[in-house]
Amino acid sequence: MAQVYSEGKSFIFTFFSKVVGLDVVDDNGNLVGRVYDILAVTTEVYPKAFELLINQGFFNPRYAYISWFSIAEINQQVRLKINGKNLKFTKLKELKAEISLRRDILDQQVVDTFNRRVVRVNDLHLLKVGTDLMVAHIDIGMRGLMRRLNFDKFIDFVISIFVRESPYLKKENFISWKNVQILSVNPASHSLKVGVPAHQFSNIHPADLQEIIKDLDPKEKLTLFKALDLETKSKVLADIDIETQKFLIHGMDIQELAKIIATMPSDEATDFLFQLSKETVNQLLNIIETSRAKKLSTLLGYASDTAGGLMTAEYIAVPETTLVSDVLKKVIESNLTSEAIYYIYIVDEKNHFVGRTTLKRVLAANSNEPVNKTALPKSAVVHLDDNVKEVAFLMEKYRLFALPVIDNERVLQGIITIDDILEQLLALVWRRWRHKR
Amino acid sequence: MMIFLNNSLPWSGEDGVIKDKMKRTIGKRFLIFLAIMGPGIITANVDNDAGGITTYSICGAHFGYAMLWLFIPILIALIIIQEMNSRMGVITGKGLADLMREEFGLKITFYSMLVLFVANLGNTIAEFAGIAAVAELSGVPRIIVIPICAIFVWWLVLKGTYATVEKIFLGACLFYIAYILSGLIARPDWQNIGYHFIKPEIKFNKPYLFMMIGLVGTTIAPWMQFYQQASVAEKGIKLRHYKYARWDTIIGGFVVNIIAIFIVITCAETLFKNGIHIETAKDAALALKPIAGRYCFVLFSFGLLNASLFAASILPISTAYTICEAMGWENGINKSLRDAPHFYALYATMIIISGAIILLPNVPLIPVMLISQVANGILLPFVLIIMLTLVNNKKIMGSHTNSTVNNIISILVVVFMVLLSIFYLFTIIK
Repeated sequence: MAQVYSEGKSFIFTFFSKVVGLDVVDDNGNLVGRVYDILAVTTEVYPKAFELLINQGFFNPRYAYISWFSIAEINQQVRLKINGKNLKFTKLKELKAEISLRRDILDQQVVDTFNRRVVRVNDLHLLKVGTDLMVAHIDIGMRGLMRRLNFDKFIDFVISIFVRESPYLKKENFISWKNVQILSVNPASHSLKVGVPAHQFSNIHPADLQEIIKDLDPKEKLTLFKALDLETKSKVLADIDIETQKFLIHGMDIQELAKIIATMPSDEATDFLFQLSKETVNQLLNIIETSRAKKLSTLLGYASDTAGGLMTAEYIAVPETTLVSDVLKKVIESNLTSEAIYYIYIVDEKNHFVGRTTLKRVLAANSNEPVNKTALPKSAVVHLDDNVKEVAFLMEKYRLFALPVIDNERVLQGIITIDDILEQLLALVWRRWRHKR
Repeated sequence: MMIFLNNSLPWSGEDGVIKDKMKRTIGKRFLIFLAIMGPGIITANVDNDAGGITTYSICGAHFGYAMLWLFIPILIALIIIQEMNSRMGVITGKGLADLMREEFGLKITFYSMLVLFVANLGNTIAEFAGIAAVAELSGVPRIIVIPICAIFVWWLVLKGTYATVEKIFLGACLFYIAYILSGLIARPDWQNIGYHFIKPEIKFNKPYLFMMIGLVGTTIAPWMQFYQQASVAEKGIKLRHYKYARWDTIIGGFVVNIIAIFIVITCAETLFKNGIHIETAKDAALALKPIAGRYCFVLFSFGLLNASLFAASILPISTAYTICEAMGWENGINKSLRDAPHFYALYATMIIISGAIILLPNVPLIPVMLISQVANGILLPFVLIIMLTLVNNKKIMGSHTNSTVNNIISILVVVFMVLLSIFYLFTIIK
């Protein structure tokens, strides 16, 4: 038989759509089939091709899996090192952990973690090093679409006639693989085929992550959510809309849910628990450690638009006689947000509210002074049943980040931080605005 | 959707740890149904558009009650097909175009979308023609009515949210009662009607067969499958509420057929008995005036206006939505023009072309309609076969693939529809 392969131009970059359908010839140059798919592993940053899937026959197609080591050359055609007789043609196998470029990436939705959105893949941009192929970018652009439809040359030609410097010809709409998270699921383990690397989603703000999750279909929503770490899960759950929240925790193990709630700040945890049935809440409170469960069940008793319902139980309160050095120690040991540690509340032995001081004043004070020496002369407080507007009014008037909440006997119950009030007010403004429309 | 929020026990499910143990009362179930209903009923009613009303009028005027029996198999086929779409929408949360792209690749999807665009553009032109016909019936020049309606359609869909638009559409469905009233005014012979329902009658002459094919073709069109599945997915109906979505589809099927039957009755009782031949719905309305009286004429015309406007609002947005979904372009009415340029371009193109063609003098409408019908006829078999493949794919549908009985019926329906479409194409091309 004649040698059918020719020495064409070699390339560095190519597209998956250009590789699919290439002739595959064996060591004697006999045509054995055409490229159908590429299977890749993700042990490195870029998925690396490790198996070539070729097919022959149109009406009853048969497929052969060829190890990448058996490939001699990829150019205008794929040349193998082995003989065609050694190839075993079978039916298509169900894929397990490996990634199929054709079935798992091409035409599927993936998450663009850089621009925080969900996109559909039109083509894959491959990098060739020797005979190795790696996925470098995904193509989400119009040109990718045209290439898949084999209109690319024609459209390029037409556009170049009219607009020589058209951005269509110059700019490719690519996303680097580093910023891509695929969503296909390993049928054996029911988890994402490509594990979510910690860095992938940790630099995305939870609010953006929520937007991404909302854009996905139910199955993908759940898989992506399950793949997140506990802390990210809790952040996402904390203020996503109620319907999605319910959907995400549906079927979740109650132990895990308890762990997630344990990592939430107590005011968010309360809001979250408000959405659940009494039965579930009781179950959860039984699992969560006692002191925290007690806090949460108290908070749950208050209506959500009163000071009691808005407050959080995470704050720093110290007895009047505590030394400044001990106060600082307490601040450092605490694991609270900056709004919550800026004020230090002073209470008597029965937890009655006495006054407050600020972190700045404590830092400036002598370390062996008692803390009540640094106390501010006057302090605004709110009662458990005061409403959102009163709280907001006081905060604005006295320019405070946080307000203490007391009961009728002046016992300190919790604090309200400015972010929670802002959230409430925004919701109010938003409602009015929608109403006006 | 508020109903779910007030329901203090949010989840139930086969695999869930947390289960809904409260029994729902009938009242509560009805409220949930009210929240779920929409996609099925709206899709079915849009089907009774200007083209549909014309076909049913001609059917009644030329063949009397002879074809009433055909509405029973049409009803079954419609419900079977749309139920599959509704189920796929609930289970996958994806539109049909999405699934098509993911499972069958870009090429098949792209060409399907191209054909769908042509078919739906033709349909939209027909809706605007319907509006123009009513304008002429009431003596208002079309040059005034068409731009107003085009702007109304644009404004309604772009300024509303999905929920408000759905409510307006459901309201428009109520106006189809006009046809029931006009049917009643015509004083139908109920005994005779009942007889024709149970006794199928097939005449093997060309006009009769043409009419049969036209009747089926106008009731089951490809855009419906894309639209219903996408709106079920968009609405985010949950699996535990699926039975309500099924009722939505079934009720929609019944409503659309009852309206169609009443149109046939109106024309059969009046035009057929007097041997009047008509070409369009406008002819039908005009011919009704001296025979059935002014009220019947007004109701019939009003019904035509409502149906045309309703369909003209849905077809362009549904087309833009489906195509963007398939191509992976940003879409949806909550996106800005900058974020979703393709979506708005497609939407505007459909409305502007349709309105302009109707405003241009002497544009021959019959070839336009024929192209649209051919496009529909080519696309329907493809869509149905693709749907059957998808709905039986375990990877996509899990345990909710078709049951054996369901499959046998749906395969029969699909085979029948495919044969009919091919036959229809031949008759049109000849």
